[in-house]
Amino acid sequence: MTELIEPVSGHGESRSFARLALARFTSHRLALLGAAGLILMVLAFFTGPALSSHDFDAVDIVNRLAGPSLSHPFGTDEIGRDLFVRTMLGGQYSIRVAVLVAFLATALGTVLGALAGFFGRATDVVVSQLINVLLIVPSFIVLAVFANRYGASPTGIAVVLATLLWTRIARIVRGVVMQYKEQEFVLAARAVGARPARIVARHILPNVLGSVLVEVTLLLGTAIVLESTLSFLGLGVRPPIPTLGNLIQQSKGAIDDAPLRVLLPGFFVVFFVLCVNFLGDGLRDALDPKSRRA
Amino acid sequence: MLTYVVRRVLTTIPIFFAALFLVHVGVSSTTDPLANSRLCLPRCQAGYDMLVEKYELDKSIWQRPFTWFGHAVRGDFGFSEVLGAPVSKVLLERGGNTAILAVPAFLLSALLAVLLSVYSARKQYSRGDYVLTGFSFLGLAMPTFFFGLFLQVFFGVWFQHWTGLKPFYTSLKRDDSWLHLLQSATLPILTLTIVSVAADSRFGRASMLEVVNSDYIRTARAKGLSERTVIWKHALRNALIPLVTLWALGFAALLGGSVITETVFSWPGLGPAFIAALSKPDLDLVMGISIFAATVAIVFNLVADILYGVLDPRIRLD
Amino acid sequence: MKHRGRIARSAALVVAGAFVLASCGGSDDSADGGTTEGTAQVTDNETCGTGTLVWAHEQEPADLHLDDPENGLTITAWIRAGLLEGFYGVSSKTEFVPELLAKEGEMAENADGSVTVNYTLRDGLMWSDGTALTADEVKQTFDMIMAKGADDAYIYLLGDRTGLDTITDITVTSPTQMSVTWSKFFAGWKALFGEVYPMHVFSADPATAAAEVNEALRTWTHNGATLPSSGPLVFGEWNKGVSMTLTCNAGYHGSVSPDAVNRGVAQVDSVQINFVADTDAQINAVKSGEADMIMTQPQLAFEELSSNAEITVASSAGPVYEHWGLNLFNKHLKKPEIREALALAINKADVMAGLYTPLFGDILPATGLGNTYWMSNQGTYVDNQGDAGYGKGDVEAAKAKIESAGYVLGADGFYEHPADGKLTLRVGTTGGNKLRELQQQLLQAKFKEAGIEIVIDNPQGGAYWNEQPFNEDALKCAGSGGKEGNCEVWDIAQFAWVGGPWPGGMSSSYRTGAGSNIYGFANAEFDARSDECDATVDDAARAACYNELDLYVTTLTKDPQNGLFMIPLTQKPSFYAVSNTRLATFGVAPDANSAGPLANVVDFKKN
Repeated sequence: MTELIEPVSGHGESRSFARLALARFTSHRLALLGAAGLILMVLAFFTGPALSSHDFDAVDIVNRLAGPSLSHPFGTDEIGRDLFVRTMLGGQYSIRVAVLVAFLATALGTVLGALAGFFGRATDVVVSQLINVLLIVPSFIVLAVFANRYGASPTGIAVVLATLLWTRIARIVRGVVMQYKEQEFVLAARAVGARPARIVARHILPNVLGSVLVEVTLLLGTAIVLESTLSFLGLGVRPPIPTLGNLIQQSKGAIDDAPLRVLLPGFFVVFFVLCVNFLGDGLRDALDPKSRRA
Repeated sequence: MLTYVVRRVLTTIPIFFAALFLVHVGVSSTTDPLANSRLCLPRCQAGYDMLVEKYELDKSIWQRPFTWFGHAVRGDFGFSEVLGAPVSKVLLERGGNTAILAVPAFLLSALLAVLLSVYSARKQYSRGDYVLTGFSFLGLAMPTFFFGLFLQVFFGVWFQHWTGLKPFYTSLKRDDSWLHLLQSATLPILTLTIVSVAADSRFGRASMLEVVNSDYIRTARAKGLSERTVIWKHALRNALIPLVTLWALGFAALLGGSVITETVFSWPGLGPAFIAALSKPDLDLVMGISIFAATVAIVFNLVADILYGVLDPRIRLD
Repeated sequence: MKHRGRIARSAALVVAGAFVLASCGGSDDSADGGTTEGTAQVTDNETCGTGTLVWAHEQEPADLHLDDPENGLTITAWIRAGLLEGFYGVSSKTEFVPELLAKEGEMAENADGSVTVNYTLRDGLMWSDGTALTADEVKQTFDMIMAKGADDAYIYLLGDRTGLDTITDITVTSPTQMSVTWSKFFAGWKALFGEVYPMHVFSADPATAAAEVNEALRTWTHNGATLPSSGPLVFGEWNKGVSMTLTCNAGYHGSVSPDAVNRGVAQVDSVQINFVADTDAQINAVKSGEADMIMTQPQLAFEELSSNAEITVASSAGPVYEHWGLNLFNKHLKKPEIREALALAINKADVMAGLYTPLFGDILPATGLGNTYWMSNQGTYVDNQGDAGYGKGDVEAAKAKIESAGYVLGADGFYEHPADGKLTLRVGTTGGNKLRELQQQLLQAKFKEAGIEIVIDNPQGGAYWNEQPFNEDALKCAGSGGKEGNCEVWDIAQFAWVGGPWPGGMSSSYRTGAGSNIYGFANAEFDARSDECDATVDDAARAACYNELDLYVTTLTKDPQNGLFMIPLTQKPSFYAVSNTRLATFGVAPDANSAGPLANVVDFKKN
């Protein structure tokens, strides 16, 4: 269900398109909000731990399960570790996982999609069938099987998620590349002897940038939600490394007693996903050449 | 059309086997069926040897799937050790339980998604549209288990504390009466519904908006057709087309067992069975559920494509 | 969670004897414990009560045959504890107490070195189908278990026939009297005949019966009829994936357990076990009145229930204990100073205060566990590690030890050895057990203060054993004294073993070259001494002997070079909580593999 994008050929035209897109994006209030939220959150995650005097793994049995205080703004966990520092650090790890997933899935999806689209025939069959295999085996099965073994580290889980999530991007890229490879400007480039990789990179991929960008933002959200879902099943990143997912998993039982402990990491997951979705929406509107709204 | 279906099925078979092969090798290489027996050796040597024989652990992991395939094509899906029953029986029973949640959740979410998309499209940028959009974003952003547990605590514990009433059970499938079944199935169905409505209505809204703003709808309006006819008859039909694929895939996923929701509510469906099988690992059951889920996915993909052709005359299946 | 299942199974077969202690070891710390003097509360309920006792549990057995290869679940044994009785049961003090027996078995040593025990069954023992339970049926049970097929293989599935295969004679002298002769003394004799099967419903031929019993135990039916019970409950119905119902045995001959107050039949109409997978769902089920009790793996989430006024936590210390096992061929751990430094620096009181006291209150000693043979709730327990000054968080002493082995504190706060490098050790366990993971993290923080770097290295899923301690190369290293294989596969393994009323089985993983001796401990003196211990007939002397064996394992006093390769941390009881608003009374739940909450199900009464 890829939304097709009108050809964008001339370079001057594309600059004005960029300007128009930027204008559209900045007028999209939710998108701006999403972007601002994301920036704030990343800042908090990466500077937060430095602001506290506690180490993320410093145990303090006497102060276990403490409520919020000046010293421990988010309280402490079962063995008295500071939850503020752990949540911020957990956010760092979760964002790292998400970014890595987005990067790997995009790279893999773009390369395979472009190969399939440009060369067609056997290459296309192989890539398409690969996508179909992943479509057929319910993703959860693949995820559970491999996360069970390789999902213990942030990098591991990112790789596992990316091997599953690259297919959408591949389909989008494949569709667009197929559509463009017969266009005049591509044929022209071919005629002057440009190498396929160069043609794809210079002339075709820019056209797919918009939809891929939207996909990437959504991927960030999907990755964070999946990471916490796997944590729920005990398949995600393993302690002592905190992630938002395993922080929620560890304190989900407290929802009745000490709701703050589970709501705070939960809030960051939900807020993060909301922000990337808003951002994605804004980008889609801004980069959609059909949209007339400025 | 028929040739299309036959060709689709034929091309799917190798992929189907490739996928199952991948799962078998994946499970074999990531788990240890003997984990339970190692610590009690040599006392439980007999059980240890039985497992080695059953799962052919003395052979290479690339070879093992074939024996299993051999049995499976002859209709023998093996025996589930964790559930103590033949896999085919487990699939039937557990699959039925999963369907008890999946079918109502699917119908409900489909209906809600249509209503919400129509509302949002007609009242774009109204306050109601913003609220609904906000909620559907929230539904997308909230991990399922989080939501399920919240419903469980809210209706199962808090509501009872406040009112003394106990409308729903927090876990298990109780089927001694229709009322009990309803009381125990409601919360998991609600969880599944809300999660899928969120995604469907986002998509439906976009699709509906695109249609409503298209030229032919404007023409229809200009012709003086009533707004009701325009929206419900002309616009909706076209807006539904892209939703159909989403629904088909979503329903297939629901039937394959919603691991999270079923686990949270201890519902005896395929999801918890899969998790139990994986942790052992109970290879026969893992493979059985994979076959089932893959078949459902293939069938519904096909159904989606056919429906696509039926709904959209521009698409020809050949 | 996996652990428990896995080891529990072997324990079922290994648990056995220390009757000695029934009289001398009984500290009266639990009010509902010793009722032998006949306190006023003892009742004799004559007819089945009303109401259903609902127990929420996360594990559902595959079937009810304990010895199916994939069915080593605690829950299976716990369910059967309410259905079948045997010679001895296990009390809340993890001691054997007569169940079907009228009195303790009387042992006599014969001139030829063989040993004979005379057993007397209680009068009036009845199966739920109205048939009398006699000594003949015990013999038939034995014959069935030992029956061999044409291929000379046993027919009945049983993991371990140790102790049964040395029985040379069983003579039934009257319906209530029999004598059993062993070719030589078997220290675990009280664990045998833990269940007597209703042989009267099966074929008379032992071999035919063995095949029938194998099948019947799976579904608890034979020829379409439910198996008769000798316990307070009768198997009812099993709604797979959802629940199992056991109903009151109206003809029950009564319990004589020192833990039980009611000497009559159950005071509920039925017991329903609901299989609720998720811990939080279990908590919600108890809170919302959908379950009356839980008895399960401890999880910190249950702390919430401990503080709930409507819930009573009534766990008793059980035989499962957590420990760190050390790889004696690791380049650091092979130095006794380093192992001793670990034992000195570890702070068991911290582990207790942080992870166990919140759940269990003071049923466990605040100082943790210091012995691998006897548990702290047993009369024979000696805190060997505590006596050696270990487990008290003595960071300074630990540092001194490390420095005495030639280590120098590095700039990063961790010690370094000129030849062996940084003092960094990996600790691993099967992933997914939250309590255990927190325990690792807590200890990791403590060791940091002592300049020891602990790296948590838990592979996922079931792969831990396969990949680390039981890895082929690792076992080769342990078996060859470090000469072959790969000695750096793992450093420290954190896991649980199951002890029991008879801890003799522990030695089997410490003996030279034993298959489950992953540590690489090899000491001929220890091997000889443990043979002596197992052959000691006198219970008190044997108990003391096991304590002496433990000195090899947990201290350096007996073996200054290779001793101290286990650091026991604490007993890990099951978490047992009941609703005090929906239940008028509840039973003591001995936390042992063959006991559990249904062992004293007669004491449950609904409001």
